[in-house]
Amino acid sequence: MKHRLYEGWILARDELTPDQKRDLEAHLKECESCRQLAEADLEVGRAFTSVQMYEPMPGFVNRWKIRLSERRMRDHRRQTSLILGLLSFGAIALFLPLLIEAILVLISPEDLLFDLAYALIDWLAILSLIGELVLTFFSTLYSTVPVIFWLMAMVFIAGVVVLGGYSLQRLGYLPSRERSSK
Amino acid sequence: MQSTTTNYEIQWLERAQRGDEEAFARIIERYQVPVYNLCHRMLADPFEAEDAAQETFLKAYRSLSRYDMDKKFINWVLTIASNHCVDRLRRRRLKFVSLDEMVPGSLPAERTSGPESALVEQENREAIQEMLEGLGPRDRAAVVLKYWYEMSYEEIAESLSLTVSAVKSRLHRARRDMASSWVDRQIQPVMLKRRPDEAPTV
Repeated sequence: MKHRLYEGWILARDELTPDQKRDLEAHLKECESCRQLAEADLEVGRAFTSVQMYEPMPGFVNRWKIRLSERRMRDHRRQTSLILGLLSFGAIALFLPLLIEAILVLISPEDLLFDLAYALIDWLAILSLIGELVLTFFSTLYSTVPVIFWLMAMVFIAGVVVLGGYSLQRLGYLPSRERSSK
Repeated sequence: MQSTTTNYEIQWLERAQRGDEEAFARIIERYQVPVYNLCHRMLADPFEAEDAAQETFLKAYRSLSRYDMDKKFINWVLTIASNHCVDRLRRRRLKFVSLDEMVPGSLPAERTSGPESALVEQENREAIQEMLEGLGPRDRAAVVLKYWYEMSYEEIAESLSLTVSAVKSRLHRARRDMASSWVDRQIQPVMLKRRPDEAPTV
């Protein structure tokens, strides 16, 4: 039991109090195994401090620079392939429904043709409805508004159009005139 | 080893944080030896040590924005290196690497004078490497940081994400194991080094 205590003290000599140090020294004089441990510990410490540091082979920094550029290239390649992969996945995800549709059409095209015909008929029906609505609107308008008012309105609109055209012409030519005057 | 971060280094680090590769290259020049040494001591293989040191600087460069300028750069980079080496050792488990495999370029450039002292250093180096290889990854890291880099218990604890008491107990255990293996080594070498046909010296 005592040996364990002194063993701990041997390995923590720097942290001992003066009394503990004295106690340890006294024990080391008596105990052969503890003395051996203490001497070996000191010798190991000396051996560690006597040995020089290992040095890398010359050109370490250049090799690091090469490694850095290689790693950057690898990362760049990895990023590019990741982006390409994601894009491919997105493209497949987008085109897959279309592809399935196309395959279904190839298997039985009559369904698609029927759908197209129905869509065309629907559009034509909508157009004819719009035409009827416009016709009804104008015929109602003609019957309710007097002819003189229509003539006045037409003259007014024509006047506005002429004035508008003239203003646009003046505005359009103005900068070129200014340039030529300078 | 100079452990404080100088004003020049802070300037280089600031430039490196803004993406200046050359500024970081100067930092590497400054710290390549301690980082490489730590990796070599931890991994006991010059080629793996080179790779680990390179990876350490790459990691440091990429996470430089997280580096706190108030702390010592050497401690920060050694933390990255020791954690990287601990991970490698865990992956590799017990892979024995002979000391004869070491390449000449990885040995220290400055040698002590005289063949006798060189022999002593070689023996010490081998003994240390053997002792380190007998320790677990974290204990090894703690020992290397303590002996070569003179880090405090608190700094080691921060580097290895351990408590201070855990670091102390790990270091005590490691030192006890190393001391006993040192004793064993002192008893054995004469018997081991003698050739079978050689007569014992009287």
